[in-house]
Amino acid sequence: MGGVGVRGAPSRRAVLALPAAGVAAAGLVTAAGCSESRPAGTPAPPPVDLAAAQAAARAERDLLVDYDAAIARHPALAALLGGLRAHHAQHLAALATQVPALATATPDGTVTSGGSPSASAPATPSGAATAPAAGTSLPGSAGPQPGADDSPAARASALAELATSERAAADEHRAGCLAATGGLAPLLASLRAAESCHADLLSLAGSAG
Amino acid sequence: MVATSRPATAPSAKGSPIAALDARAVTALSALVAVEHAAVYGAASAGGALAPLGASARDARGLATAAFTAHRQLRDALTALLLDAGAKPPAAQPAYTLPVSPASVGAALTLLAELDDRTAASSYDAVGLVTGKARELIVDALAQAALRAQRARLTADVSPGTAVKALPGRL
Repeated sequence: MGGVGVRGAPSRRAVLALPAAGVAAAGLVTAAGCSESRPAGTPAPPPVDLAAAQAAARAERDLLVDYDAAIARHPALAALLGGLRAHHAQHLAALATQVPALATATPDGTVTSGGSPSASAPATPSGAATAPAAGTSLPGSAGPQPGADDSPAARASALAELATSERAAADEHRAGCLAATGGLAPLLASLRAAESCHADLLSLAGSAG
Repeated sequence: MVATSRPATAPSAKGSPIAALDARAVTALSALVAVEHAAVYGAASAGGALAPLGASARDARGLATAAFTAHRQLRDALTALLLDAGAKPPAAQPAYTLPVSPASVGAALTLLAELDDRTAASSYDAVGLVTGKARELIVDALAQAALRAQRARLTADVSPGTAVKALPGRL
């Protein structure tokens, strides 16, 4: 009982079908045991859920920007940070799938339901979520941006700043989880756990030098 | 106050409002209690297996001890929640079949991680069915379980790409 069946919560199996959600949501959702028929006239989410989802999506987009900047400054951290960045792209996609109204109702963003969540990250227009480390406009070499401080101290500082951003996002998701309906609360609880885990890993990596 | 045969709807004598639990909430919270009973048992087994392994097992022993304490606290908090709502929480089994036998430091860490994966998944299933203080308890339980599982895997030298989950509790 992954989705709790309250208004639009996807079951685990529906979540597995994420990339195809925009095209085949009807069949997949039905196959996953959800009796609602969503895609044609998707009901508006409860206002508390829309607000919580918007705040969560904003936090995820901010994190994508932070990660892109850190990866550009510190290519040596790309392997570590690229994997975590991909999680945030996945988080945005999960939010957009569960709250399709995000695509039209987000005033400041460009989340596209079911599409590539990376499209909303301005710093990586090519947006390959699976290989984010490779892309950040560094022709030829894996060196840092010209003029950027890529010293070990600067790297440790970048990791600490990302950990702080992750903890702030975790707090945002926790508050959203407590405010949301039972349909959205599980996803926000999972996102909260994910950002807390990211912060812990970043802190460990930073203290390990 | 003594729990009555009906779900408690009167204000709690302790001052914190106890939301009435519907049948689905009771089922989900009871399932989580059962998971925690097993986790207490499993964490104790891991700690006992690690006890004689000396300095090389020190970090793992610390994780086992912390996991035991955390699972016991969550079990007790959930049990109190169910009792306050007039429900009957499940008792522990006398013994459990462990998913991994903690025959080495690595196996003990794997066991601890898998126990916390189950806590996270069961918390994910329950968190949307409750409100207020109960939801706070469970959203925090999910995050703490995910953190412990990740720490156990990293301590076992699992790569971060595998140890760090994108959506803890959900997949």
